[in-house]
Amino acid sequence: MKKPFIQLFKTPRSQYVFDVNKNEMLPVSAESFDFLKQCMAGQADIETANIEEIQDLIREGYLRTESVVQEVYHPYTPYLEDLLNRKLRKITLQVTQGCNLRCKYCIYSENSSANQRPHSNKRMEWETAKRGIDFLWEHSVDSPYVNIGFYGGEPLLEFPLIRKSVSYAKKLFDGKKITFSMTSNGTLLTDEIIDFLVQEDISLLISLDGPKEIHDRSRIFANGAGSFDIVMQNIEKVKAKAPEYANQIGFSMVMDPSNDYDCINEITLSTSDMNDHRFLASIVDKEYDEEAVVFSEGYTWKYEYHRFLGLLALFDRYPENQVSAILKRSIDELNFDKKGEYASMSLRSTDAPGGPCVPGQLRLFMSVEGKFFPCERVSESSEVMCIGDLETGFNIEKSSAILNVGKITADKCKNCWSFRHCSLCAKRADNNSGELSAQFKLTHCRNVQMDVYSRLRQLILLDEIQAYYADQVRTLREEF
Amino acid sequence: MPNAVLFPFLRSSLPFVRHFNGVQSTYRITGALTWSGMGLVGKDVAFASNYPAVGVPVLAQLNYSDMNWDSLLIDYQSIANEFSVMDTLDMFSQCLIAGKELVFLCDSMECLDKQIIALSQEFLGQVRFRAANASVRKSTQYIGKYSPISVPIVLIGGLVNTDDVTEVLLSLKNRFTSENYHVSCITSSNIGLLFGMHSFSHIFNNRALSEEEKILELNQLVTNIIQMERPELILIEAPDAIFKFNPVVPNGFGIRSHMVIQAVEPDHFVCCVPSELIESEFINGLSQGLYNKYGFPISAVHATNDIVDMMTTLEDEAVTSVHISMDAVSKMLDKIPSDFPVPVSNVITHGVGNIFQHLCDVLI
Repeated sequence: MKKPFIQLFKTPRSQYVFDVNKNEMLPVSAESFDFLKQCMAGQADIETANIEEIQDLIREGYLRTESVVQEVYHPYTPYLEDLLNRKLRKITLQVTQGCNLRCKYCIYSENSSANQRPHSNKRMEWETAKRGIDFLWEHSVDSPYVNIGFYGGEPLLEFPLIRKSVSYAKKLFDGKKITFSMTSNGTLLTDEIIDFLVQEDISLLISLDGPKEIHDRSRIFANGAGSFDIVMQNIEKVKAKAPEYANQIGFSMVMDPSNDYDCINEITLSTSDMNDHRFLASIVDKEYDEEAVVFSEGYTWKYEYHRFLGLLALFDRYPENQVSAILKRSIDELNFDKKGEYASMSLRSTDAPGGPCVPGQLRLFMSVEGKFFPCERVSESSEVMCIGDLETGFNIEKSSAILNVGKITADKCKNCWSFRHCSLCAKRADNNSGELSAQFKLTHCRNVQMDVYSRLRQLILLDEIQAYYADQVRTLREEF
Repeated sequence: MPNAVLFPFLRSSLPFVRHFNGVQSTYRITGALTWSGMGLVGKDVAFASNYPAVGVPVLAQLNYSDMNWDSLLIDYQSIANEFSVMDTLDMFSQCLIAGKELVFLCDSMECLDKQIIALSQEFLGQVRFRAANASVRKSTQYIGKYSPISVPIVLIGGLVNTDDVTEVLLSLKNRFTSENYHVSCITSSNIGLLFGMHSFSHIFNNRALSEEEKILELNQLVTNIIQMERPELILIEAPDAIFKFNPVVPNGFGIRSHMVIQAVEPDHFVCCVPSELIESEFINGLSQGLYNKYGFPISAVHATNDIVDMMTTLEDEAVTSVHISMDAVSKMLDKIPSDFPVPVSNVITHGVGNIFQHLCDVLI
């Protein structure tokens, strides 16, 4: 019996079929839904359907039993060279591999995986930094603006190099919008550095994992002392010197979900303005350590509760300024997806699953030695992830392999209902074996499908709220 | 003929530089000056759009004592750059002290900086002005009125903002002129004033006008051109994209092009489409949509070498493109079936011949 290439969704108010080929979510009657459910369970054949609604959909080209994708091939492949030669948007300079902290979860620590480089004191030479900036200039003619990021280790250990790089880049890019950004542990912010950051308007992202008891559990100096107090003192120093600049500071938060979410979230309530800051939260990365991440109940349910409050705020049913800052980004992304879902395309005969970016185009990462990687999140010791260097430029063949990571699992991908919405990039296929691993990549599929299912369901619910609860929402808006 | 350098050189100026020495005989262009950050300095101007080289280099600064150039042609409405520390006024002064000529191409005399006027008075005879609002004599009988347009209008526009619109406009102007047709042209850049063309820049940039008044001004501009030049045909450049791109990326909603269409009611439309999107079903749908909305279909297609970079487009919520090689465009054009509903070509590699021929067939 033939199954349609669909995924079914049910909400408390209605039922839907997601037509994978068309990439469309269609509301259907309960009768049609039940029939399609039977088809998916192998208890009915879509071709023998005698429900008018189903027949109409089939006539209109929906509910096809096979994927329209014949070949997995990223549509940007033929233009990869042009994209990399003309449209780089950012380069992140790893100005040092040294760091004054020894965070327990650090991917570069001695106890961590052999799949990452170890801690080292290698520093970027000025000549290398200059050539990296020149490389961005040479390869960004089609970019309306560019960004240079400073990354480590702890980048502020190389403050003179950063200062020199900013000065050089500003001259070189005269006439084009250029911005600078830095990810720092926040422990080395002297008055001189703060003045420089403010003057050059360098977007600062400080690592902060939560309140003192959580932050100091992992983010420690070599002598074992926690870094929380000094980070917070430095933030207060920035606030005192340049309050407007301080308001723009973002926080990079590595969340260990074995902790209780409310405990992590306490940091956003620690001062009156902390919740107004931008938080970029991520779950601790143990990918290259081949370790599982543990989610406690106190994290999972409380996180979901806070997220629910965030969703209510989208409809003015909860004060937006009380939504946990840690979650705001994910709520914003969902809201963006709500608009974007209508912009995404149906599947084509030659197509590639969602997930990979054009490697290096959006956030090229350059190591202290001048090696190129698609971004700062991949392993610097991985051969497959190294997409070139300052001497030889981009290795188009390797970039193309990363862009076309879908090819290694083509048969599975072609028939996967979350093809268009997949988020797996080559990092998820890199087990440091020297080549991209299909087997390793496939281990992530279930989680991705669950994420996609959850996201699409939330988008449906957001639509339903508008339709079914319009009167209530309107009343509440007026009250606010 | 004096040698000239154009400032500032932007990607949108490339079509003018490409056609410069063939379309007018007042100046010979020898260089193009721009800000160093554009990534063009030391390269041929054509690199800006990944076109074949044209032999004009991009400069980051002027050598005032260089005898190989005599005039600086200034696209005045484009010199403001909030990301540059370049002191343009000082540069203009240095040019004049070195005995060079300055030619300001501007919306109107009123929009010029007072210090520039002062320079022109100090260096009498060395500073010239071409103002868009003075390119045509204004007849008082049309002021405030909407007049039907009596001359066929060909609108050239793009599915997304692309500088190829100007390229097609200039190519068609050249071809019609070489075939002895009397053609008038309106473009969105004041550089066109050097080519005997008109610009609507002064109308769109005039904040004192309401949108309705701008449409009337556009209509009056065309009416006055008809009165003065008696053209057989008018070519008009659509100032922005013709449609909203998608719900995330509004693409300016095509609002300026909509205003031009309201002002002149074009008869034919040449559409510049990114080559990756050229499929008969898509072009048919686009053409039908335009016909339903505005009453004219797509008459011909120019396949551009812009590829919409969807990743940054969605992230920035603005259409951004990358310019692919002309070889890649040719390969895509090779796949177009012979029974494609309208003529499709790339004017850079194939010339404007078949678009011109098709327009002749439908117009004459």
